[in-house]
Amino acid sequence: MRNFFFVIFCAAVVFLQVSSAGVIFGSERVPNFALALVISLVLVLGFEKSLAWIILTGILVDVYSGWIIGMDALVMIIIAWVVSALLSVADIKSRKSLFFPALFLLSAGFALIYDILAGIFMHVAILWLNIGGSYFRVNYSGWDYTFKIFFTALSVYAVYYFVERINRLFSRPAPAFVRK
Amino acid sequence: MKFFSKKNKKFLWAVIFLIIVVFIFSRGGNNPVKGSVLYLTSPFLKTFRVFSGGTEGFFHFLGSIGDLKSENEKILEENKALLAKNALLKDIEGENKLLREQMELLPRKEYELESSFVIAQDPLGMGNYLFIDKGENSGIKAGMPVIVSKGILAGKITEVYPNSAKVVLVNEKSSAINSEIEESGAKGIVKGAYGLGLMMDMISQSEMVKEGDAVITSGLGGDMPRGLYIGKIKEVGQSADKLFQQSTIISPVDFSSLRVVSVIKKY
Repeated sequence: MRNFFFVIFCAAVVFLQVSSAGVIFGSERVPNFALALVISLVLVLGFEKSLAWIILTGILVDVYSGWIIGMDALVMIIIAWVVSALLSVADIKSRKSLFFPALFLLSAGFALIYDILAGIFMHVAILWLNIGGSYFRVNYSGWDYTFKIFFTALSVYAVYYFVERINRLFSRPAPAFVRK
Repeated sequence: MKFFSKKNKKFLWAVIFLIIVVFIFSRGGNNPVKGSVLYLTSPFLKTFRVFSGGTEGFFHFLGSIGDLKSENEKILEENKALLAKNALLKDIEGENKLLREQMELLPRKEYELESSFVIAQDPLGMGNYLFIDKGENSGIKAGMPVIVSKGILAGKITEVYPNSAKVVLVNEKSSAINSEIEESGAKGIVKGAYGLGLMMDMISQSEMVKEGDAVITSGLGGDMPRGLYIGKIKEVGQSADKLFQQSTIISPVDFSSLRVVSVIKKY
């Protein structure tokens, strides 16, 4: 049941990003909800348990992007691994007062890293795999990009809340009468 | 810390698996997968997009409140100019009809259009392409022009799946459209400018280009009908080698909030 809810939630987050976010936020300010999901999954479930959901999310994003299937998933896996490595050094979850600002900064930083990595991977794919297509260019300066990073960092709170709730809902031990 | 811990091994296997996936799909094997996923998810995507209509541009609006006054004044000015132009065009339309009848010319052809819903757009936020909910089964083919509001060019079909298609918008860097300035007849090529809007390039130095001139498709090359509106000239400058004139173009289309577009199947 937990797996079913996670599949639905991952798909819903990607659908929201590809279909509605552009209309709500404007096309140059679309927050990276998928990245917010990756960070939340690693924080709540850990890297190993969230691996399947991250690959699913990445492949779904790839279907709706002009990318080759697997490219976004690759960027997400790398980011998830780095987030998990960071968490093993600094356990932000146990520091309650620092958790929310740390989560904001973490998401903002990784939103920037995501775009840089995506740009590098696209260049590599065009040069080495000999595929057609235009280079992925992001205008890192300007208000639109600043808003995009800001919205991504804000969205992580909402996504984290839902991931935490789904996980908690299905992690509870069954009531005594059911166990009997 | 052991490098080949269980976690790191899983990470390496996942990376190897995804590199293989990327390699396989880079050889053109992604169409059935993309087509099937798009077919299964398009009803959900359509619903999400339709419901998001009520909140259209809300966050964008918050960031642009300061510009509203000047924008409003500009729009009022433009509206007056358009009313005058509209009256003149109506007069010309009547005159054109009369002349066509007298010269026994056939009436202008109407486009054969296929209207479709936008179901998804670039998830990376560059806003350069869309997915629509009509595809091969509705007679859509790669290369067909996509318009909004009966004649404003939005883009071109590039990939077709059984029940969906990908539209590359005019503001995409790789798109190049043969175009013409309506007032002077100057020819050029309209391209995207890295998600920053549109640019008309390759305009001869001998041509007169003014701010506010209308840019339309020239129909050269035969891949697009002549006369589709692209936008109006904003600034005029020189190319890097000073051989041609370049100008930025403002498109009347807000590509982020498109919900319905029309594909020109025959022209």
